[in-house]
Amino acid sequence: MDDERFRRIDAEGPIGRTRRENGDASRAEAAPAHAPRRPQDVALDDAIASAFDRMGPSEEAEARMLAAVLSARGEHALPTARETGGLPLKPIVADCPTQQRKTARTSRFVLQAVAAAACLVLVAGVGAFALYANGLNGRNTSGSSQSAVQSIGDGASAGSSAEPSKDASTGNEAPQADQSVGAESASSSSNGSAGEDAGARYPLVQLASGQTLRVVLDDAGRPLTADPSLVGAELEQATAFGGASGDTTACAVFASADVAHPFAVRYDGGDRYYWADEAG
Amino acid sequence: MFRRHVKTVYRLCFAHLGSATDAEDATQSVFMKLLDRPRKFNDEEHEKAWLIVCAQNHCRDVLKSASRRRTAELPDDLPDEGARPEGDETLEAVLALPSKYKTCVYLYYYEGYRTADIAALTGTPASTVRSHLSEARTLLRDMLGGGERGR
Repeated sequence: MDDERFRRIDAEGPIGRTRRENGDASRAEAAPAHAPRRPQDVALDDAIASAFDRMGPSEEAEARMLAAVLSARGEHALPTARETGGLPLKPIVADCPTQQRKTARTSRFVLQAVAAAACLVLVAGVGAFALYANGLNGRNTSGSSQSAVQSIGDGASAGSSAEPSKDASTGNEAPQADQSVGAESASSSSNGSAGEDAGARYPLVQLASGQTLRVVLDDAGRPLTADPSLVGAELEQATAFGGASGDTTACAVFASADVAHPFAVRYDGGDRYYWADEAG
Repeated sequence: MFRRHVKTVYRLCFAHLGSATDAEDATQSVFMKLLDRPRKFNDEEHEKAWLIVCAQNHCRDVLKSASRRRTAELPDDLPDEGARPEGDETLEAVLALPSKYKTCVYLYYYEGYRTADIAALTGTPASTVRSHLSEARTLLRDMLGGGERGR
């Protein structure tokens, strides 16, 4: 059989044009030249092509098949007659209303979950910041209390000097003691002034065991004076510190019968006791 | 993708199975196979070639299973939506061709493929394709009265 016969594409007649449109136009145009065909061959070819053309599906059948395919996949097809050269740019399907609602619900749920997570993170951050600030305040309070104590101590020393009658027995001695002790301490860079304002200036006491005590302050930031009747036996001689300059002074630590404050401190050169607690 | 190739697949299935109803079922099955196992095609022609081969194989499976099955006779008064128009001798002749010729005949006479393309697509040698086309043509000419009558 002539192979050329089966290498040509019909270029005449409606069926040939239809086939070229359905098939690859470049393929048709690239077909090599062929020998002229007999009219009966042309007629037969056209008849065969026409028969296949009549086998095509109707519009209803196409829609039916598409609906069946998509329903099997749980999707619904959008009715459309748009085709850009037979090449839809994207699948012509859309979610069914139920799936659209599900998608919308899912999106809302995701948004709400993200918002809740963001709120939780914010609250956690605020809480952490509050704790940190609290810690800072604690340290600042001790530092500020030291400075407040120092200023109060300065005021106290000024007051004590201005009111000698009030503390006649001690006040006279105290300044002198302060002066004497202060003279002694002034000669030593490691020892600060002692006496009445020592508790204000040296609120921390270092025990021999390594434990640190802190002189208790009242609401005004002044050293809390201990009741002598509740002060017990002397425990040890210790060193008080806490001044900004790093000076220290000698003191005595006593046991205490007070439930709230287990220790009492008396600075050398002074006769007052101050409540002290374990430093944190 | 469906709208691009549904007519091609449907016609091929109709040519093999001989009825519109069976062709619809087969077409749906072919596209379902592709949707169940999506695959990547190089281009539109590759996509079309895959669908053609899949449709051909599916129709062969259907015919094999149908030949083994004993189907009950339907009542005569049941309307057949896939009824072919009476008096369409050419259509009847094409449908009467042996199954092994139908794909080649369809691809050649309707889709315009060359024999070499048909051979590559169906996985049969080009000489076999040419002989199939020749034999089919002879059968059709004989059935249609020597080729004098067209449609």
